[in-house]
Amino acid sequence: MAEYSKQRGAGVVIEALAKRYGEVEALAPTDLTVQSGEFFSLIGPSGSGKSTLLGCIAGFVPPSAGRILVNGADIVAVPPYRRNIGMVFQNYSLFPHMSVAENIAFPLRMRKLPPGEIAGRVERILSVVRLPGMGDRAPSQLSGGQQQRVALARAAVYDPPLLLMDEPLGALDKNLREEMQYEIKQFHRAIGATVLYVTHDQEEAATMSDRIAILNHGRIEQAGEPRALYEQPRNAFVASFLGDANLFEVRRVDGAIADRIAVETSDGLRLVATHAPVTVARLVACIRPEAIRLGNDPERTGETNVIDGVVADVVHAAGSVRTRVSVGDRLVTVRAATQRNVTGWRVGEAVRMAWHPRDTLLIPKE
Amino acid sequence: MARSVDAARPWTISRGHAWLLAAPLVFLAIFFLWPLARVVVRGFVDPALGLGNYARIFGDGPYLRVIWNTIETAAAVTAICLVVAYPVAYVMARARGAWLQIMAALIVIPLWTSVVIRSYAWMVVFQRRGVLNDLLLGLGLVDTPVRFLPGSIGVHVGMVHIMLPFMILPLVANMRGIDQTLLRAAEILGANPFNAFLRVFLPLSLPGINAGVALVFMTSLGFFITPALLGGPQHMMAAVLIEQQANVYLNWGLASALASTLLVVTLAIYLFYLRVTGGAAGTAIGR
Amino acid sequence: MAGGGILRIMLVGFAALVLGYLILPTFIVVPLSFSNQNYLSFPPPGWSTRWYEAMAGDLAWPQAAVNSFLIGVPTALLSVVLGTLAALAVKRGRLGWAAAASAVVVAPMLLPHVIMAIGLYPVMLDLGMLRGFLSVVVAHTVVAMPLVFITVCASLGSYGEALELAAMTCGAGPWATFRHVTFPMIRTGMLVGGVLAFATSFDELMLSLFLTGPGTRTLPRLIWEQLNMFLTPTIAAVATLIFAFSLLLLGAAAALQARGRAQPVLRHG
Ligand SMILES: Nc1ncnc2c1ncn2[C@@H]1O[C@H](COP(=O)(O)OP(=O)(O)O)[C@@H](O)[C@H]1O
Ligand SMILES: [Mg+2]
Repeated sequence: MAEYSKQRGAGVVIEALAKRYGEVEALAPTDLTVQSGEFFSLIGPSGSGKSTLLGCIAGFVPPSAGRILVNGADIVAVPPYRRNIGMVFQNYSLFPHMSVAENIAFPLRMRKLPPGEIAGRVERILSVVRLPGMGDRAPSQLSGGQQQRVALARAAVYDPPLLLMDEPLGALDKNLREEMQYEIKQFHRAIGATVLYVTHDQEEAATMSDRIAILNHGRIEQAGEPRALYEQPRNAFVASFLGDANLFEVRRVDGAIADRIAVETSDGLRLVATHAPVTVARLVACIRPEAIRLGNDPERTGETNVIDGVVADVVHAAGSVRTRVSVGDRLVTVRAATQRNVTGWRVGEAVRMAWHPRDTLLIPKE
Repeated sequence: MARSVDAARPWTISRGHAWLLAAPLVFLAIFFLWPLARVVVRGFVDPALGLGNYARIFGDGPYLRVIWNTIETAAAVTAICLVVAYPVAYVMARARGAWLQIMAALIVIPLWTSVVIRSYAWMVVFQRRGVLNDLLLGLGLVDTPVRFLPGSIGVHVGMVHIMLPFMILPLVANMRGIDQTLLRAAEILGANPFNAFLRVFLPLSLPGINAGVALVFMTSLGFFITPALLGGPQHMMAAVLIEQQANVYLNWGLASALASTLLVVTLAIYLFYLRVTGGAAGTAIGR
Repeated sequence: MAGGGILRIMLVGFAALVLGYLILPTFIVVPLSFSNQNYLSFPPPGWSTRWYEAMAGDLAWPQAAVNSFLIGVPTALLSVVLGTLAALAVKRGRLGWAAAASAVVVAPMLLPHVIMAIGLYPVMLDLGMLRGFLSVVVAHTVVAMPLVFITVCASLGSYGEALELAAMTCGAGPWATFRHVTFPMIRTGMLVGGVLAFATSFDELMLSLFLTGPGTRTLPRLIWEQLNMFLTPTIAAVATLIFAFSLLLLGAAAALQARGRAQPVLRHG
């Protein structure tokens, strides 16, 4: 096949891509640009349209409208077997009647490469995915993690400029998943392809990706670098989906003095922030758990946001303490790195939470 | 890169699949639907246009009696099969390992034995100097051989024998899917085993019952070999009558009208069967 | 619980009785075929192989057996082709009318054969195929194809479509996908379906009664004609041979299915 050549990552431009299943709008008209060589993740709750978007790009799902440009050419009418895109499926989808080596050789055979070259390439990629000498095994003889590495090798052995992965680690347990995250990242650096990666695990996306798009109800709520999404979520959904967030509904903006904006929440708390979107009617205040400090010294200064509460529970997790403080009839989550010599708070103890105004993020509710 | 002429139209995976149905559907249209249509039409036009054949069938007479007898026999066979198959399926659904294998073999082997041959075996059992009479005479229960053939006992025993696997298998398939912990939970909640069975297990096995009943009833309506060999003129069923009218009396119009009647009844049950098996036609019969 | 124990024993005992009833005809026919008497008394007073000799001496039996094969094998092949095509379309094509299509495909198996027989007779007459091998093959295919359809549908349902999609992303076109992925996955189902289709044809009486002639007479039809004339243990001898052959077929189907299961098939692929 003529397209077969070592290419660097492809640039992907998606224009007004939409998919309807009868009444269900699986994907609302969506625009998205993925740079060449980028590791780009799609995250969102189950049913948010991630697989639909990926399926449109792979060619399994005929879009209802829109264009998909890969390196500038619209591929919507091209059958999947001529798109030269690699794909890794959640359940590996290895051919059970073929050995590991035959699985990996399959795309090369379809491209009519000479047998000698096929064997060489299979050998090479098997060592890249750290399965040297495993070529004769049946897929069922491998562990889940090993099967996933074979799937990765099969999808990448023909050097596709674009690699799609639909929740590739969804079936693995946590430890293995973290190890595989690292390996996929290494693999991405080694092959240089553009990667579009679907996951519902925000932590996974944050650790692996150059950029992330958050989907909800078939729409991209926000796209950007993980840190930017975390620090400047565009709305309450993004704020709560990416990391933990304490969200307070804003009842009233009391006014601004210099760079201080005071608001009153629907539970009657008074918070101070530094920025507020101008045009939006309904706001929420978002405070990240690690921005809040706990103390019982009522005279602390420098913090304009102060709320008193009672410790409801304390959980020690690896490296950090999560304390939940009840304020009125709601809980506020606070997280701090574990420190030696500091004993945690006791349940029932009165406690004061404080944070800097710039950590009060005022964002649109919708 | 090859492009279709209409480049804007998205490629769809199912574009070619509809064509795969072309050959089977054309085949069935010519050799299944078309013959059925001819049967239905012929019932109204042969020997003369009109409802003459149906008047003969539904007017008081032997034909109507055969139709009623067919429905009655099919219903009785279905009921017997259900009552007999349910406990067997219950035991089989809980069997494991070698016992399950043995039970499955004993159910499947008759299924693979020719229906003609099985009916022949029942003839040997029920005939005047047959196994059953030998037994009855030997036990001193009767003094002279009982005349079982031709008659309804042989028909029922033979038909139940043939249909029983078709009742047991859907029931087993259904019962194996019933979560036993539900029963245990019901018993822990205070239901005695009988109540737990009545209120939990029985309702859950209803889909299997429906599938089995529809399947057995539908198939029983069309039985030919068993009633023809064991039933005789006293216990005639529709298929036997139809074959006789067409092959012996060359009364094709009447045969077609009878067949159409049979078709309507079976189709109604087939639609019910499709409903209870969720449109997945034939899944319950997967051997 | 004593009551539960007794109930259990009763249940198992009942099941054993029913299974005995199911297998009973076999235990009558096989001994009967070795009887030395020419009437059907059971158990036979003495043993002989004379009925097998009688059967071998009558040319009609081997002729009918050959006919049954000449009809059964093409029926199985045609059924496999048509049934597999239909199953592929119904299970893999995203057709809105897939349920309706499968209802039509399965119907011939469940409708009374006598209806199809009197419908097919004039059609075959018009096509000039009556009493030829082709007419019976076609008729048997109509009623045997559903079995292939069902077994292949089950095979296609045992693994996800993702496997075929994976092949397509690997660069395999529709035909290559079928040849390298779908076919190896459903091969067992096709074979088992073919065996079932053959068995159906081999046992079919009603359609043969209407569509075969003296030259194409099948085994069931010959047995049928003999049964209506005289009851001799010759039929038991024929029946025993057919039974042995059926067991062979059943064993083949079971072995095929066992091999199919042993294949490393991904549960949720
Ligand atoms: N083949 C289909 N037919 C009908 N609705 C579908 C189909 N595939 C997906 N959907 C619907 O489209 C929406 C998006 O699905 P999907 O893209 O699979 O979500 P995700 O991968 O994010 O979990 C869901 O509401 C789902 O129910
Ligand atoms: Mg998904």
